[in-house]
Amino acid sequence: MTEHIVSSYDDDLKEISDGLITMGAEVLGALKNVEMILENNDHNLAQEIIKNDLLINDLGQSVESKVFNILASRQPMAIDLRIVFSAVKMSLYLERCGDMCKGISNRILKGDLNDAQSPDTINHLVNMCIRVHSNLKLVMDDYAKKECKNSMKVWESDSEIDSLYSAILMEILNSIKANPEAIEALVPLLFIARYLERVGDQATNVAEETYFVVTGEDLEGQEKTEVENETTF
Amino acid sequence: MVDSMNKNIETNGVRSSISDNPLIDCQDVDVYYGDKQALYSVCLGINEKEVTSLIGPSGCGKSTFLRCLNRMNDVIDTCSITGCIKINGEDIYDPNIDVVELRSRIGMVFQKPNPFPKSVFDNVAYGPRLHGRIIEKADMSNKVEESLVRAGLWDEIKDRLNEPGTSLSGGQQQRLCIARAIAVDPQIILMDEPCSALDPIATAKIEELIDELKAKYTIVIVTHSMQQAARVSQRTAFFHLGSLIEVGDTENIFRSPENEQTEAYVTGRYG
Amino acid sequence: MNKTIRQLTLKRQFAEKRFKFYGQASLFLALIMLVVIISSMTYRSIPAFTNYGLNLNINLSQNNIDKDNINYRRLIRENIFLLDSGCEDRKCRREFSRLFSSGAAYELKDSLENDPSLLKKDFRKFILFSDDADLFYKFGIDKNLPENERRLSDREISWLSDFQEAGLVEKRFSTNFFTNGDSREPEIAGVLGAVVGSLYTILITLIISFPIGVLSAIYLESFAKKNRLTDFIEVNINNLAAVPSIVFGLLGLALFINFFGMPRSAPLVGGCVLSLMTLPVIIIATRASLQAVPPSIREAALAMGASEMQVVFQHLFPAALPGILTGTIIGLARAFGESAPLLLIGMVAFVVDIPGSVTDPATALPVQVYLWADSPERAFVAKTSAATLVLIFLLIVINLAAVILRKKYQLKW
Repeated sequence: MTEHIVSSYDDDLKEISDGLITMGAEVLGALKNVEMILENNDHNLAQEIIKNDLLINDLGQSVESKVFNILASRQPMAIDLRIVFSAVKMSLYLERCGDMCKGISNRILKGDLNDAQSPDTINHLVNMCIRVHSNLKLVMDDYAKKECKNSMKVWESDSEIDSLYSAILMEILNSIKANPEAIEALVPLLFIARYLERVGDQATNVAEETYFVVTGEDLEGQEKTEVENETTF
Repeated sequence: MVDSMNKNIETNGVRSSISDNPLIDCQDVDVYYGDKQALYSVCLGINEKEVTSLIGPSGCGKSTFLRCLNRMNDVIDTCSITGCIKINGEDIYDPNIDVVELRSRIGMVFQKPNPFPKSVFDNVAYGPRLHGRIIEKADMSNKVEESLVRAGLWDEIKDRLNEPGTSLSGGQQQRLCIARAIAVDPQIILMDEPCSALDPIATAKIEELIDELKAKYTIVIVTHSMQQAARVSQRTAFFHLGSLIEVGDTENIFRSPENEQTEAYVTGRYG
Repeated sequence: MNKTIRQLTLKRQFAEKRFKFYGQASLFLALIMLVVIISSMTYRSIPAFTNYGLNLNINLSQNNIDKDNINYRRLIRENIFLLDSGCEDRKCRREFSRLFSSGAAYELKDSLENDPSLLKKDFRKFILFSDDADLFYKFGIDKNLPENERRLSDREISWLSDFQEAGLVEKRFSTNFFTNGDSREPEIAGVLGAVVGSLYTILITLIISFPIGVLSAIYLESFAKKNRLTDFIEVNINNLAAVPSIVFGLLGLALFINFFGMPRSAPLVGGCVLSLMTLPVIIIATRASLQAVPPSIREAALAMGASEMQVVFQHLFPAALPGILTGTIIGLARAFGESAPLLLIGMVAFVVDIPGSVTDPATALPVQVYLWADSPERAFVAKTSAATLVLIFLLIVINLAAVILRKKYQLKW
C-alpha cells in the first residue's frame, strides 16, 4: 500500500503496529522463559516474567491510547480502520497471554516442580509450550509483514494444541489417581497446561485479527476443522 | 452473480447489493464536454428508497453523472451523452421525454443553498405552481406546511413564511431548498454536496433529514466526506477519472473495498 | 531588525494616508467644479426668470371694436400712445412703440380669447417691455457711450425713466420662460417647446430601444448558441457603443429621412436616431446585469423543471431589472443630452409652436441651448444659462429616477 497524503497518519499507524509487535516480542520472550523454567525449574526467571508482565500491560495501555487518538483525529477507513480496530483486540489478547505467563510463574513460585515427580508430563508441557510459542511467533511475524501466509495454518493447528492439552490433562489425572498424595504437586501442572492452552487460544485469536486486517474478511466465518474440545474447571 | 448476492445478504444482513430491478438503471453512459470525455461507460443501478452516495476526487465525474440523471447537462451546449439511462424502465434521453416533466419527478439540491430571492412560502410553492399541481390557496398552504414539516423546518420558521428565503441561516436555506424539492413529490432527490457549505450542526440536521427522507424517496448524494457517505448511504459508488471504479454496500466500501484504487482513496492515500 | 520593520510599517501607513488624501482631494476638486458650474450658471440665469412690464390700461370705449375681428396690434398701439410719449412724428412714435414687446399683441389675444367677458369694459393688461428695455431695468445702461453705439437712445432712456418714476413699471416672474416655445424676441422665448420636443424624442427612444435592447440581450445571453456569428454580433455591439454620435445623425439623415421619407425635424426621427445610439448601451448593461445574477438561481429554477423561458422571465429578468433600468436610464440620459445627431436631422430648426405630436417639427433642449448661445441678442445669454439649468435639472431627475428604481427592485441575496 502506498503512503498516506498526510505522512503523520502513517507514523501514527506505524506506532500502533510497532507497539503490538513489541508486545508480541515481550510475550514471546515470556513464553520462552516459561519453557526454560519448565526445563530448569528456575525461580529467578519466574520473577522476571512477573516483572515483565507490567511492561506488557503498559505497552497495551499505550497502544490503546494511540488507537483512541487516531480514531478521534483521523477517522480511519478500510485497511486503516481494520488495523486500528484490530489493534484494540490484539493488545487485549497479547495482554492476556502475558497474564497467563504470569499465572504460570506464580504457580511455579508457590511450589517445586520436581515434587510432582513426573518428568514426562513436564516434558510434554515443554513441548506444548514450544508449539504455542511457535504459533504465536508465526502469527506475529505475519502481522509484522501484514500478510496472512501462516495465520490460517496457525488457526487450524489450534486443535492440535487442544489435543496436546487433552492428552496432558489425562496424563495428570492418571498420575493423581495412581498417587493421590502427590495431588498438591500435580495440580499446578494442571493449571500450567490450562494456561498454555489459553495462550494457544489467544494465538488463534491474534491469527484471526491478522487475517482480518490483511484480507478484510473474518476467519470466524470459515469452516472449522475440529470441534471445540474443552474441559472446564 | 447469484452467489455474490447471497454473500452480500449474508455479510450485510440488511439489503442485497444489487437489486434485480433498480429504479435507475444506467448502461454504458459516456459523457463528453466538447472533445473532452468526462464519463467512460458508466454502468450503475440505483435502488429504490435507498441512499446511494457517489464519492471520488474532484473532477472524477460524479457530479456530471448526477446531472445526467435529471438532464441538467442539457443546458450545456457542448455536452453530449451516449448510452442509456432508464428510470422506471423508461429511457430518459428518449426524444419523446418531456424534460420539464422529468425534472418534476427528480428533485435536486445543490452545493450552495440557492433559495430564490422570494419569500419562504413562495420558494416552497414555486414547484407546485410551476407545474400547475395546486391551484387552491388553502391546498397550497397545506402543501407548503407539509413540505416544510418534512424538511424539519416548520417549527423553526413557521412565523417567518413571508420573509425572504435568503434571510435564513445557511442550514435553514439548504433545508428550504430540500423542502422546495419535495414540494412537487418527486420520486428521486439528487443532492450535490449538500453539506459542503454548512457547519457541523447544520450538516447533522441535513443528514438526519436524509435518513428520514429515504423512507419515501430514492436519494443520490454526491459527497466529499467519506464519513458522511458512510453515515447516510446504503450503497456507495466510487468514481475516478470519469470511470465507475467500484460500487457496493457502503459498509463494504469502507470496511474492505475490493478495488485498490477505492481503498487508496477512502484511506486518504491518493496523491 | 525591529527598527526596519517599524520603518516599513510607518512608510506603509504613510502611503495609505497619502492615497486616501489624493482620493479625497480629487473628490473635493470635482465637487468644487460642480458647485462652480452650477452656481455660475444659476447666477447668470437669474435675469432670465424675471421680466419687466407695464400695466397698461386698455381703453375699449375709445375705439370702435369689431368684436369678431379685433386688430390686437392696433389695440395695443392705440393704448400705448395714451401714455405720455410727447411724440409728434412717426419716427418718434415708432421708437416709442419699440420699447414694448412685439409679443404683447399675441398675449392680449390669448387673454381675451380665454376670457371674452373682459371686452365689456376697460381693463388693465400687463404688457412686457422689449428685451432692450427689459435689460435697461435689469442692468441699467452706460450713458457715457456715444448714443449711436448704445441699444437705447437718450429719448428712449428718458421714457423708460419716466415710466419708472410714474410707478408704472412692474417686475414679474417670467412664466413665459416655462410656457412658451422659442421666439425671436428674447422676452417671450421659452423652453417648453424644447422640453416637450426632448421628452417626445426620449419617449420614442425608450419605446424603440428598451424592448429591442433588452430582448436582444436576453436572447444573446440565454438562448443564442455560442458560435462565430454571435461572437461577431457581440463585437459589433461593442463597436457600436463607441461610434461617435454624429455618425448616427448621418445615418438617420440618409436612412430615415431620405430613404424612408420620414418628416424632417420630427422627434420621431430624432428618437429613432438616438435609439441607434442607446441600443448598444442598453444591450451591454442588460447582458452585464444578467451575467451578474448568480448561476445558482438559474440552476435551481431549471432543476425545479422550469423551461428556459420561465427561468429567464421569472428569475433572471427580475433579478437583473435594477441593473437593466440603471443602464437604460444612463443610456437615455446620454441621449437626452445629445445634440450632434439632432442637428443633422433638422431638429435645429427655429420652431415657435410647442410640438403636439411626435411628427411635428420640434427641437430638443441641448439644441435649444446651442441655438440661443448662437443668438446675437444680449438677453439670450441669460436664457442660455437658464435652459442649461433646466437641462441639468431634468438630467438630475432622470438619474434620481434611476437610483430610486434600483433601490426599489434591488433583491436581497
